[in-house]
Amino acid sequence: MSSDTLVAASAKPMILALLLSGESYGYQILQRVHRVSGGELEWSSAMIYPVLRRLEKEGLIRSDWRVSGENRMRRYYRLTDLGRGESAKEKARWLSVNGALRKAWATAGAEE
Amino acid sequence: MFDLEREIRTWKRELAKNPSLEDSDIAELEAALRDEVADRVRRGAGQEEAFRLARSGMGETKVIGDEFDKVRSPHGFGGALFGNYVRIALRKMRRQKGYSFITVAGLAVGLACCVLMMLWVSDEAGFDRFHADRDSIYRLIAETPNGTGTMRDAHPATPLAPAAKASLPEIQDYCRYRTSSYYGVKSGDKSFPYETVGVADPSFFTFFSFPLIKGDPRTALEGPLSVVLTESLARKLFGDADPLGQPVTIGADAFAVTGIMRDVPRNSHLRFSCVIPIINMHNYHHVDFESWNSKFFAAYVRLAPGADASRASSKLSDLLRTGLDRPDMAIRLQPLEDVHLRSDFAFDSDNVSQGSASTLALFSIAAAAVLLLACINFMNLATARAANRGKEVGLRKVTGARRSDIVRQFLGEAVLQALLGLGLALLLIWAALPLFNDLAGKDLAFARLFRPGLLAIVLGVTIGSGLLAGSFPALRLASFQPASVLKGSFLGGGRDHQAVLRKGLIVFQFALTVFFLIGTLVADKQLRFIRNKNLGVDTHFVVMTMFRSEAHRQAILADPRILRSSWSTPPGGQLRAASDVSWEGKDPDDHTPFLRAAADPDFLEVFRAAMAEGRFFSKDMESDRSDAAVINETAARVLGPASPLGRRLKITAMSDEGQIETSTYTIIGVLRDFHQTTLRQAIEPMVFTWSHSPYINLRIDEARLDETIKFLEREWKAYAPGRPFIYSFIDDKIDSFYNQDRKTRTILSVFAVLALFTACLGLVGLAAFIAEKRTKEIGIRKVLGASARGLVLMQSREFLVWVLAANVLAWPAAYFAAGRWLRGFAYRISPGIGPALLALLFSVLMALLSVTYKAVRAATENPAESLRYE
Repeated sequence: MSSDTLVAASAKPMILALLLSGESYGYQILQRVHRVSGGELEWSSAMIYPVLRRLEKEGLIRSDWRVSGENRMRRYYRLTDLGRGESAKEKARWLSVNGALRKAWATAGAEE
Repeated sequence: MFDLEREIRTWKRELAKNPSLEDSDIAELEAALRDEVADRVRRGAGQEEAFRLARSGMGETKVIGDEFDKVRSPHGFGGALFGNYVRIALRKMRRQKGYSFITVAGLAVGLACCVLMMLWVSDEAGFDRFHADRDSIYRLIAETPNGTGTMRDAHPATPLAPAAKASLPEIQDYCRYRTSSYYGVKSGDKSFPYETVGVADPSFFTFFSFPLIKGDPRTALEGPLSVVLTESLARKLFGDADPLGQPVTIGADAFAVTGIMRDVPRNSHLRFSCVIPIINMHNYHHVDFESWNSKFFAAYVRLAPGADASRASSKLSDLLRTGLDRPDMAIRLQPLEDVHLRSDFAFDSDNVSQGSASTLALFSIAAAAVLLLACINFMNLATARAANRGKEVGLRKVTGARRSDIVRQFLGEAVLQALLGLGLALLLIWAALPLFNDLAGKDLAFARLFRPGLLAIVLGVTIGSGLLAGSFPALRLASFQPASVLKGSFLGGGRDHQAVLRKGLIVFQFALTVFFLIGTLVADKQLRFIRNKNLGVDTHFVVMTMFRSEAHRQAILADPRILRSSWSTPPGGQLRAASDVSWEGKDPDDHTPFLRAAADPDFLEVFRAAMAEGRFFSKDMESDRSDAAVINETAARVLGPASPLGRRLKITAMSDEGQIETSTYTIIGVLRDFHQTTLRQAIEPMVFTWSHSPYINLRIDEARLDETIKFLEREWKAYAPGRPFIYSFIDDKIDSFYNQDRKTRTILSVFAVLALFTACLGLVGLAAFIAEKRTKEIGIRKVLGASARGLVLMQSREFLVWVLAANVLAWPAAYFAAGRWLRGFAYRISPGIGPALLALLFSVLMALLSVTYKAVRAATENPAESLRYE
C-alpha cells in the first residue's frame, strides 16, 4: 500500500511508540509493526536496523546484547529519557498532521 | 541434505564481503534471520523453505549495505569520512586476518630493521659533536708510501704539532694525546688498577670542550704533577669530600688534583677517567720530544678562522718532510667529526670504540631493502586482491565518490597498516634491542627513539612506506570503471600486465634475498679460512704478560706450569716500521718499510717458528745481544737474490719506550715468513734484534690452562698490588683483527634471514590468492582425473621458475660485491660456485615450503566443494 517515503518517515515514530511499552529486539519490532498495521506495513531487516542505528546515535534509544530465553544472542533496544520525550513530540506532530488531513478530507467530502 | 548452519555460514560470508557492514550488524541480522526461520518452521514450513523465504525477506546484501551506508557515511564531511575509512580499513583487516598479518607483519619487520638502523646511525653520526670548535679541529695523520700502498699512522712525529703552531699562521693551537691503562690510580687505601689515564698537552681543556666543574681549564694541567679527575673517579676516590688539592698516586708518582671535569660523554672518541700532563711521558717512557723519528701521540690542531685546510695540510707536510728528510711523506688533516667513523689507521688504539662508515652504510641499505621487500608484499597482495574490492569501489563511485576520494581512501588504508606495523615494530625493537646492542657492540637506549628529531624521521619513513606501498594499488583501484565492475565483467587478479608486474616484483624480492644469502655465505667461508689458516707460527696457549720485578719474574718462571718463556714482541702485536734500514748497495730511493721486532733466543721455541736459512739468536753467543739481526724471507727478497747471511744492516728505530736508536747489525739467519698481523695485509719485511721488550710471552701447559692463569694473577697481586693485571692470549689478539668482519657477517646473516622471511611471507600470500582464484579450475581438473601430486606440481611450478630467475639475476651482483669485499684481504678464498648453489637450494626450498601448503590444500579438497564455491 504505502509509498516508500511515508514508510521511511513513519519509521522513527513507529519504533519509538513500540518501545514505549518496554524493551524489544529487531525481529520482534518487525513482527509488532506487522501486527499493529494489520499486515499493511511490511518492513524489511534492511530497513529497520539502519534506522535503529540512527536512533541510537541520536541518543533516543540504547541497546545491549543479551542471551534470550531460547539461548540465542539478541540485541535489545529500549527508550532513553530523551527518546521518551521525542516520542511525545512525534505523537503531537503526527496527530496534528492527522487532524489536519481529516479536516481537509471532510471539507473535500462536503464540497463534492 | 539441507544443512541450515552451513547455509547461514555461507550467507554470512556473503554479507561480510560488503564493507559497509560491521560485525555487530551481521550478528544482529543473523539473529533476526534465525528468529524468522524458527517462526516459519513453527508455523509448519520446512527448514529449507523457511530459510529461503527468510533470506529473501532480508533483501539483497547490497541493498542492506546501502541502507547502513545511508545512516553512517555523511558524504562530503571530511572528518567523519576519514573516520569511516579507518573503520572500513580495520574491518577489512579483521575479515582477512591472513593477508593482514602478512602485510602488517612484513611491514613491522622491515620498519623494525630501519628504525634500529636509524637509532644506530644517529648514535654513530653524533660522535664528537659536543666540541665547540668541532668544525676547525683536525687530527694529523702521517702518510708514508710503502711497497703496496700507503701506510697511514695516527701517531705523527711528536715535534710536528708544536713546530706547526710556532711557524704556520694557519695553526691556531694544538693538543697531543694518548692514554695508558697500565698505571693504576690510588689514593689512601682506595685503589683502581684499571682506570684509563689520559696524557695530554696542557692546552687540553681549552682545546676540547670537556667542561671543568672545579679548577681553571687554562692552568689545570700546567704543573707537571697535576691531575684532572672525572666526576665519577673523584667520587670513587674521595666520596663527597672536596678533591681539589688532594694527593693521587698514578703509577709511581704522587699527583695533586687540580680540577674536576664532567664525565666524558658516551659519544666521545676520547675516553679516559683522568688526565695528566704530557711531560710525564718523558719520565716514564723516556719519550724523546725533540726527535722527528719519535711517534708517540695523536695530534690535533685547531685551524685559525678562515684558514684553508688543504693549504694547511700541504704546509704541515712540508714541515714533516724537512724535519725527517723524507720527501715521500705527507700529512693529512682528518676532520674531528670523521675520527669515529672514518678511521682506518695504524696505532689508533686511543680512538675508542671506532665505528665504520662503510659498515653503517651497508647495514642501512640492507635494512631499507627489507622494508622495500615488505612494501612489495603489500603492493602485490593489494593489487592481486583488488578484484575483490572492485565492487566496493564501484559502489562508492556510483554514489558520487571522486577518483581522488578513492585514492585517498586506499592510501589511507596503507598508511594505517604501516602505522600498525610501526607499533608492532616498536615492540620488536624493544624485545630485540639487547641482542642488537650485543651484536653491534653498542649501548643504545630504547627511549632514544622518542627524541623529537628521530621520532619525526621514524614517522616520516613509516608514512612514506605506507604511501609507497599503497600508491600503486590505490591508483589501480581508482581507475576501475564502475559500470564494468558492477556488471561483473571486470576481471581482476591474474591477468595481463598486472600479473607480469607482480612476477617481476617477486623476482626482485628473491634476487635481493639471494644477494644477502650469497654475501653471508662468502663472508662465512672467508672467516673460516682465516681461522684455519696456518699462520706460520703456533700461538695457541701462549699468554703475553708483564713482570713488575726480578723476584716476580723468578717466581713465575720457576713454576712447572710455565713451559717456556720469551721476551719478545709477539705475533699479532702491532709493530712500527723502523725509521730507516740501510745496507750496502741499497738504492737511495728505496723506502721499503721494515717492521722492527724484538726477540730473544726462546722466541723460536715459544712460537714454534722455523728457520729458512742460517740460525736464530743463541744464548751461547754473547755478541748476538748487540750485533745480530734475523730477518724474514720477505725481507731477504728485498735485500736481493744473494744470500743475506753475513750482510750488515744499519737500523734507526724507536724503541718500545719511545727512544730513538741507531745501530748496525749482522744478519745471522732468515726466519720462515709468518703472519705478524691481519690477513688483510701481505706479509711485510721484518727485522728482529735481540733487544729489550717489556712483554713476556709464556707458553703454558694446555691441560692446566685455568689454574695457570689464576696462578699468574695471584703472583701479580703479590708483586704489584694496586696495578692492573695485564695479560692476554695471543690467539685472542689475532682473533680480534676480525671482530668487525665477524660482526658484519652476523648482522648480514640476520638481514638475510629477515629478507627471506619477508619474501616467503609474500609468496605465501600470493600462493593462497592464486589457489583461491583457481579453486574452480582445480576442481574441474580433479573431476577429470588429475592427481593431487600433479596439481601441487602445477601450482608450484610457476613460483619455482620465478625463484630460479631471481637466483640467476642475483648471482653477478652478489659475486661482484663479494669480490670487492674479498679484495680487502691479501689472503683470501675464491668464493667458487658453492655459495651460489647453497643460496639457490635454500631459496628454492623455502619458496616451495611457502607455496605447497596452500597448493596441497587446494589439491586435496573434495572437488564437489571447490566447484560449489562461488
